[in-house]
This record gives sequence, C-alpha cells and structure tokens, in this order.
Amino acid sequence: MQNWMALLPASKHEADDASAPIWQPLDVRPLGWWALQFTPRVAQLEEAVVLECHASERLFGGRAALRGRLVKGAQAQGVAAWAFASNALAALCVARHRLTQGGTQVDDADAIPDTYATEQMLHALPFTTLSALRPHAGTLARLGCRTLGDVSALPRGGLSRRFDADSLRALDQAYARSPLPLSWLTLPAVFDERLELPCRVETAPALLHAARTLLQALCAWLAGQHAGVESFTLRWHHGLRRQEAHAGQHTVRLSNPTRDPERLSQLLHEHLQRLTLAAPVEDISLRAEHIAPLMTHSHSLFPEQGGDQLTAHPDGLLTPAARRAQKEALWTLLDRLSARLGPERVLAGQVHADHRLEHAQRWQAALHAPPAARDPSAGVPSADTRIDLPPWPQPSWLLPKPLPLSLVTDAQGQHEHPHYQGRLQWLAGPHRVEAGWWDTAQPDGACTRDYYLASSPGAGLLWVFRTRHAGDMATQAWFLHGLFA
Amino acid sequence: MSALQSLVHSDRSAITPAVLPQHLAALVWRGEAMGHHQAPVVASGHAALDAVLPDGGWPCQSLTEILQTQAGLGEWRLLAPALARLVAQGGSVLLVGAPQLPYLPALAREGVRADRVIRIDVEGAAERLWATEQALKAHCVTAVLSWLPQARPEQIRRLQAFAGQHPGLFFAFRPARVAQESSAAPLRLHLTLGGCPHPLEIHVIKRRGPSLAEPIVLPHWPSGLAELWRSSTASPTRPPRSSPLPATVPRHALRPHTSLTVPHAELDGLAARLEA
Repeated sequence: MQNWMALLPASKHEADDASAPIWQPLDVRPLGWWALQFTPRVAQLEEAVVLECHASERLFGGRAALRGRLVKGAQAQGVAAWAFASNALAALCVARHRLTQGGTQVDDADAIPDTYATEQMLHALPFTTLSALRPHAGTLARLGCRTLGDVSALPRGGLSRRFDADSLRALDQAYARSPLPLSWLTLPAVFDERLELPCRVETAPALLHAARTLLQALCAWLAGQHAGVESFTLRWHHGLRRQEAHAGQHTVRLSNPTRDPERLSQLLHEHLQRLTLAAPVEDISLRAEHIAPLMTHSHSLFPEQGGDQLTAHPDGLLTPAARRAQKEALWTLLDRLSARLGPERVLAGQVHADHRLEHAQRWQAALHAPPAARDPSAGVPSADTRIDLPPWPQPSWLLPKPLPLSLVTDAQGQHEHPHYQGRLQWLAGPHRVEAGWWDTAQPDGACTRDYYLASSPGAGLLWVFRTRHAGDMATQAWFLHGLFA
Repeated sequence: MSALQSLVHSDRSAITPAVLPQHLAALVWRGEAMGHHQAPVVASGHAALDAVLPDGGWPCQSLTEILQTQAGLGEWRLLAPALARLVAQGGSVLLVGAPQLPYLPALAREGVRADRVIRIDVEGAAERLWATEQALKAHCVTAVLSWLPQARPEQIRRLQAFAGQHPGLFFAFRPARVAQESSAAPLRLHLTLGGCPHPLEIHVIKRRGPSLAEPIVLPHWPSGLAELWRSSTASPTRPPRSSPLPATVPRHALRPHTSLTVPHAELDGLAARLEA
C-alpha cells in the first residue's frame, strides 16, 4: 500500500496577490525541500511536488497525525491545492481538479483512499486533469467522453491506434496499471539562491520584500536539512552600467539556530534599516553560511528538573514547551537589540576568579556567549557558578573607572580627610589587594591597593581604596570604586 | 451643620458591611481597604514592605516606579530578594541603561546568578525607551530594570500599557523630582537612605490603597556586614593613618599577623569568622 500526496503550488496569477508567497522565481524546488523533512521519496511531477509518506507514518505518530502536519505545513508554504491518493499521478489529477474547483478542500477525516477508492475518484474526474489527454480534448469530447472513467472505458486497442501511445500509458499510470518512473528530489548541499528583482530597488529596506521570498526558500531548505541557520549572507548586485561598486553583501548572525521565517525577516529588517545602497540593485542572492542541527523536542507533560529553566512567569508552572518557546523569544529579543544597538552594547557577564575588582567580571556580547550557556537543554551549571563566591559582602555597583576623592582639611588644619558627598566615616579595613603584577599587558593590570569600607552621609556605604606605593606617601590618593547599593 | 453631620454619620453606619447584604458588601470599595492586582505578585522578601503593598508583593504585568535622588542608593538591597527568587526559578534579568556596572560577584552572592543578567548599554532617552519597549513586548524576560531619567508622563503611560502584556516584573528608576508629576504607574515608591547606619527608607507615594504617611524602614546592610557594623560601633573608629594596618577595625576583629603569604589582610579573615 502506498500513500501519495500531491502538492500544487499557487499558480502565477494568484501569486500576484501580495499575501501569497511568490514561488515562481524559484520554481517548486523549495516546496520539495520542505517535503523532504517527512520522507526521502519526494519528486517533482510536472508542475507539482509528489511525495510518498506511507513509510513515515510510524515516525510522525500515526497516519492522522502525519496527515495533519502535512496539510498544516503545506498551507503555511503557500500550497494552493493538495490531494491524497494511492499513486502519484492519481493524486496529481485530484489536486488539479480541486484547484479548478476553487481550492475548496474536502477535509475528509477518514483520510487516505486505498486503491479502490482512488479508482472511484478518478472515474469521476474530468479527463482534462490528466495532462497527456489534453491534446486530444476535442476528439474525446466529440466522442462523448467527459470523465476519466469514460476514457478508460474505451477499447484499449482503438485508443492506442487513434491517439498516441503516451495517452494510454498515462491513463495506465493514473490507474496504477503500469509503473510511473520518478526521479527523486535531493537536497542541495549548499543553499545559495539568486532572485532577479522585477524592478530596480533604490533603498535597502525595500529589498526586504524580495528577500522574504528567498528567506522562505531558505527555511524550506532548512526544514529538509532538519537544521537551523546561524548566519546567512545577503548579496546584491548593481546594474552592469555602474562600473564602481559592483556588488555588496551583508552577513546576519543569529544567537542561536532557527528556521522561523518570521524571526529571520524581522532580523533582516533591522539590519537593512542600517544599510545604504551604493547604487540601485537589480538582483539579490541569499546564502546560508552556517547551519546547525535543530533539536526536535518531545512533548513531555511534566516539568524537567534542570538548572537551566527559563520562565518569564513568576509562578514557574509552565510546561517545558512553553519554557523553550520563551527561551527562543529571549534569543529573538537579543538578536533584535543587537541588530539595532550593535552587539557590543548587549552584554552578558561572567564571573572570573580574580581579586582585582575590575577583572572579577568580564562582559561580552550576549550573541557571542559561550555555547554551553546558550544551550537551552543544558542542565549543568555554567562555569561561573562553580567559582567560589567571596564569603564577604561585595559592592553591588562598580564604577567603570575609579573616581578620585577630594581631600578636605579638617578644622585643626592638620589632617586631610577624603570626602564624597560628605565626610567619610571608616567602618572596616584595610582589605589589601595586591595582584596582577604578572599582567603587564594591560595598563591597569598590576594593582596594589588597600580597600576600606566607608560610610558617606549622602551616598551610603562605599568601597574606597587608597593606592599604595612603598615608601612614597606623597603619591597616595583615595578613590571611590564601588557602591553597596 | 449638625444636620450634615448626622447625615454623614447615618451614611457611614449605613454602608458598614454588617448592614449591607453580603453580595453588595463585596462590591462596595471602602477607602481604607487595600486594592488588588489582577496579576500575580512576587513577594519582595521584606516582610515590612510586603505588608503595605497591595496583595503583599511586587506586582507582575505592571510598572513599578522607584524614585531616587541619585542612583546607587539601595536599589539592589530592595530588589535582590525578589530577583533571586525569580532567577532560582529560571528567570532572567535585563538591565537597560544601568547607571554603573553591576558587580556580578556581589549579585551572585545575593542569589542573582551572573549568567542570568543581561546588560544593555543605551545612549539617549529614545534608545532607553525603545530597548525597554522591546524587552516588554518580547514577553520573555522575567524582570526588566530600566533607568529612565528623562521619561515624560506620556511615555510612562505607554510603557505601563506595554507592561500589561509583560508577564514578569518591571521596575523603572526615575529621579525624585518627578514625584510631584502624575504617573500611570500603579505603584510608586521613593527610596532614600537614612543617616549612618543607612537604613532604607521607602515612602510609598502611590499604591492601590490608602495613602501611607510613614516610611517603611528596612535594614540596608548586607548580611555579612551587619555584624561588622555592630562591632565597629562598639569601638570608636578613627581615620586610617598611612600605615598599612591602621587601627580602624575593631580590635577583636584584627588578629596581628606578619606573614605576607596571606594575601588579603583583614576583611577576609573577619568575614570568614563571621560566616562561621
């Protein structure tokens, strides 16, 4: 028993409608790439894509579940009509008939027709749904034939003598009396697609509409690869008339692999906002630079016990699937912020074991955080949680650059005392930090300081230090370095 | 006058819940009653503060304004217990336009894990608002802390509208001078530090409930330092001399040692003993 599905992409005149994805420039290949995630037996048959999915039913949770996924996905891919049948050509005929009926889909839940039901369906179809019979439409109509059933009832000998052998063979193939040779579609190893623009585009944001088509194709290709894209490059070519600035390109990097076309196009939109084109663009191309396998998650009912749960909702009672969705959303947010502000301004920090306050934490772009911290399923604590935290309290704000404190001479005129929003009162100290003598590469590497805990009437608890140079009291100075907020 | 008074008295007696039927009494809002939030709340971790907040905690899906005369006056002491609880559940904290560098070892010590803190550096009021809006619209950050020194009332109103969709906490830090301006935030607090030993004083400017005249006073000192304060007040302190080990710390806390193999002189040993 075989179980074929035919997918008919939206035809040209329908694609003028802006809401439907434009497949024409890239033909039906993206649709086939998308279908390859379900089964390796995908082929292009005339203007449609046919796939055999009987062998995959078990993997996708049963016939009804697979059928539901296929139909839902096909609608998202902009398929105009689809049909199931027990052989490929019959499925194509039924799909063509449904397309002429205005795309109304009969969603029969009892699903895939067997051989007998397919035959009954074919008998009722107009014979023009079989493309091999279309050249003889006039003759057949004059013979009084309307449906495929009428044509197949004609004597075979006369049929093959009167018409060419192709029509009889196609009829046999539709009724599964003879085999239909198909060449299976394979996934290209590299995604690099080019799209000629219908008109010249002057501004970068206007490229987005065309690039969206390529992104849709990219996502279809990624679906077939079971992967997500980590970075992709958009190239554009100017007309040949301009000798200078022949082409340009822009690479978009993502914080984690994805194949969500909406997320990709939003991100590309942010990037294109910041670009200017040297000259009008005539065609664009899109290339997937890095892809990474995308994990499929099981739908578990109970929350997974791991250290790396993320929930925006304070109750923390969300399902694991919702948590993963929120993790995705967080990466989308970071991508978006990094695209507008620049990756160097969206920062994630790490704690390092160092006695110098400046070196005890390192900030780096959140997009380039180490992969261990980015893995949503990682249950192991990340590196910094293993670092022993200091047992004594630490200032919660750190001044990026230590602030020199002014010295005020007291009433007797004898002692100078540091002030910061009032006279400092010493609570504890000194806490000596003498480290970094090995770190000569950085200007603030070596540090010899005595830290004191001070109280200021205006600013609360402060972490203040005094530089210490052996034997040189004159150069000693006071600095404010942190606030106990 | 007496007639009016009697009217007032009779009115007051008329609307006591004892007189009204129960289904009506539930609908009558009384001036001294505390309001409620539609959304869940997160306990602030300070019992005295929870007692005066509607529903007993920081409201989710809502903007909470914290007014300060300057940055760095006790905001982490105020928020860290609630943030630590959220982070322990797997949440993340986003800082938009923080006035200084957050010091991650200190935050990790309070329970706010360093890998859950994301810092966004912004320039200018427009970027602050944009980044805050994006964070609220993403519906995925557990706590958004945003410093908005120049936000206007209509911008605050817009953020409050976005906050309705944001499942977690949202704190906006604003200067104290806007206390007199109207604001769409349902909860507004003025956070100040008292004199040494610097207790946190929280004036509730606005809440869903009766106004509160008395400030809430919370201890400011981190747990390890509280002991230190008590001991340092026991012995008078003097400014440190030029000598590397001045007698500024309490005598019992200082143990003279000459070995230089111990790299960190005094506070380490002191804190370790306090921890023990």
